[in-house]
Amino acid sequence: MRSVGWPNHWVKRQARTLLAWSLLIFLFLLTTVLSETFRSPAVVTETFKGATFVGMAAAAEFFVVVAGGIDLSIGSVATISGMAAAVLMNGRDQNIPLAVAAALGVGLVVGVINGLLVTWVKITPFVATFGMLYVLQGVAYSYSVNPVGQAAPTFYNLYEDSIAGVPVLLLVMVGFWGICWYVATQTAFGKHLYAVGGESGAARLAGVRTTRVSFASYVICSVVAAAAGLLELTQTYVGTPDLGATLLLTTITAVVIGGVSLFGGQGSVIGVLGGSLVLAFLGQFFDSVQVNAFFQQLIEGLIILALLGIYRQRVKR
Amino acid sequence: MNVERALVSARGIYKHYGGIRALADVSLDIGSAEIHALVGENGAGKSTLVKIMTGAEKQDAGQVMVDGREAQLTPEKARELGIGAVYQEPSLIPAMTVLENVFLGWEQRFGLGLLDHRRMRREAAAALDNIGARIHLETEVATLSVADRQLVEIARALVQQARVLIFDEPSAVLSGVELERIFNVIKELRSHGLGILYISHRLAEIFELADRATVLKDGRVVASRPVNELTMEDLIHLMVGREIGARHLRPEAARDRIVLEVDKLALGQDREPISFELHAGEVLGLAGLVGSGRTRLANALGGIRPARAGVVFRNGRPVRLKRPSDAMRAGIVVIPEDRKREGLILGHSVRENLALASLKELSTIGMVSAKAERRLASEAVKVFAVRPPAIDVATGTLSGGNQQKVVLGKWLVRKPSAEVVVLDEPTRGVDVGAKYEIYNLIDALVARGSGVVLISSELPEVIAMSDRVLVMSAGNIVGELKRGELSEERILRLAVLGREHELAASEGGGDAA
Repeated sequence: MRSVGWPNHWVKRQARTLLAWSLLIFLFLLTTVLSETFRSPAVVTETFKGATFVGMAAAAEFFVVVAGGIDLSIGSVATISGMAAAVLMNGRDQNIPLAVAAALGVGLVVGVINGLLVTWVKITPFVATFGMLYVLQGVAYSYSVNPVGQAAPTFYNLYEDSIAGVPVLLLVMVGFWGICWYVATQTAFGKHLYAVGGESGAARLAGVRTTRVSFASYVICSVVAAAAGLLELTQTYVGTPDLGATLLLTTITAVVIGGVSLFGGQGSVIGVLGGSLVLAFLGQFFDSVQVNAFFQQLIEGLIILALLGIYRQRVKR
Repeated sequence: MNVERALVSARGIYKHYGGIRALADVSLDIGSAEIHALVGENGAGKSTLVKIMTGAEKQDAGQVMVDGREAQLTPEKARELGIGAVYQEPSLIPAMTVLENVFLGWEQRFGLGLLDHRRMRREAAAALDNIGARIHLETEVATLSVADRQLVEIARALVQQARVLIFDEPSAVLSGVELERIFNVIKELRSHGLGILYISHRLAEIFELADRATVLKDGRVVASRPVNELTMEDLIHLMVGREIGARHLRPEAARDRIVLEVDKLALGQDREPISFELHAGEVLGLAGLVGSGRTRLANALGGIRPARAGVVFRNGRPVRLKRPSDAMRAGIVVIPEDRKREGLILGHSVRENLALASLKELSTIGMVSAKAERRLASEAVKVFAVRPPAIDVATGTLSGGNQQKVVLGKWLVRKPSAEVVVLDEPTRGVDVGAKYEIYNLIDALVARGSGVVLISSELPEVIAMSDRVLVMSAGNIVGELKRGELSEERILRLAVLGREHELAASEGGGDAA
């Protein structure tokens, strides 16, 4: 008896996610119809690969936002992690483990600091991570204003390598999103993230360790952002201090298009995946119909406003 | 109840919030298969005790014993020991499903942190069935009725093997059939051996439900007896009688000019429209329990939340009250209950807060004159005895009473002066000295010819200040008492029993009068 009406409940709860994916499918079909170049599997694969970097950063941001916070330092974490890895690798394969460890270590340290600033010092997340953004950007530029270091061949080859015909990058992506989905939906920790973001007081009364949960969300966010910085290095070969400048806005765009509420407590990993793919395909679409990048920004802005308007209407009803 | 048999006992609990005493030497036992009612007026300390017994707050002194052993309670610890609670305030996550909420903080898992969805689904369904709740597990809690939410909270406690269940005033948010359903569930739980602590200030339901009643007054236990040894009269008598101290009475208002006439104001569905008049120079008390509709009425008069229908007349002319600026223009000022959020901008200086409602008067060609603003603030601080008498300190640094004086001052310095002033709990959280200064301000208001509507949960205050009192219950005005007729017992009886009682009294020949 209890399963009656299940699909209906599911659709209601997943409405935002479904909206993001509908947008993606629409965009995919539109590009396929309008652009001949797009119709080759290679271009589609390239587009997917292009979405890994932003996608990973967006997933990082998802964990903080769904728990009711925000992390503005995410772009600079990726920058520093990429620079550190490039410098330590210095073009040599044997340095890869050290470089990877250092890059992720950067993420861990920043995440712990962000987490403490928010939960212990009790600075508003927006301000705390905004400060961190500046600190890290300052560190990056004072180290070098020019690209530094050099990725090792085995490392940057990941971008082109494939296993049994499937690009390694796509395998990484599938694995990564699988883990994120698992954590968010199949674990108690995931439920607690939603609960803290949804109604922190009620979560506390239910016995959820709310400060611990939001602290953890910042650590996860920074570590995953650092991993995204590493991944981007496979494509850029060198560590660039201005890598993160645009990343922040792009990730927040992906998170919003993916249907995550910036007030916390609502949204899904699958939605964020959809959101980051929408951005990648939108870029591809504008490339293929040869419209300049500024126009693309305008369209992205309109999409965000339209989606937020739709969500808002749903809330009112 | 002897201590060995009690599941949970409070022993000599003390709790202060700032300088205000919430609980003093409170002891209470909850036994197995017992429904224990905790009653008392608003602010008697009931909710504080609940918070302490569920680990949400820490007592200053005293112990909570579980199974005869002292326990250091946190929310997690309380739950482990089998203490569950159904709160009045939202303690469910609206955006999550019923299933997720039932198991929040209690998730069942396999290894690797993987959730055992099948088991949770089964247990939640069983718990809901147990209490006869037909609620789908995948429903978002936001879409449930208040009664269903309470059932979800009960199911949550059952799933967590609670042996003691605390209900924090379910009747404040439920009524009729829905409340009856919760009562049946509570009785069913008792028959399974659970200990129930039932908080309420509605006395009729105590007699329907409880085995034992403990009465709190001003944070102290004044009685704890089996219900069958108590009568309604006893309970009312035990609850009232708080001291306010001596206070000179104002001469009674002349009541020769009506400044405000409220005609059939509709405040909500299934509520009777409300009508009354307010005279110049009169203090009209509005008494009633929390949730009786007093604040809703204040918000309607202030244009904060417009009424659904009905007309308000000012000096005989109908006025539109769709937004706060309408009310200001009509000379009606509503001073809200939540002064920290709705009455003041805490981070701004006393001067800025005082001037906020008078900026237009202080400006020439769109520029606010700093000099005029300072003059206004300095005078107001002197007249309203704000301490410290500084105008450039942040308002948030003042004590509660002085903050309230700033709120009052903001409206009272405004020209032209408001003829109708509605005060919603003006002395809540205010120390005794400041209370009297606020009473003096009210006297000053009526002396200059304004009509004042005073909403207060403190009956002695309502009685001492008002020329007339309207008693509200469940959104309706259930009685009007003139100065000579005012007593705490009469007000409380109307507020608690509502009109039902009047009917019963007139039919039964006034046996309870």
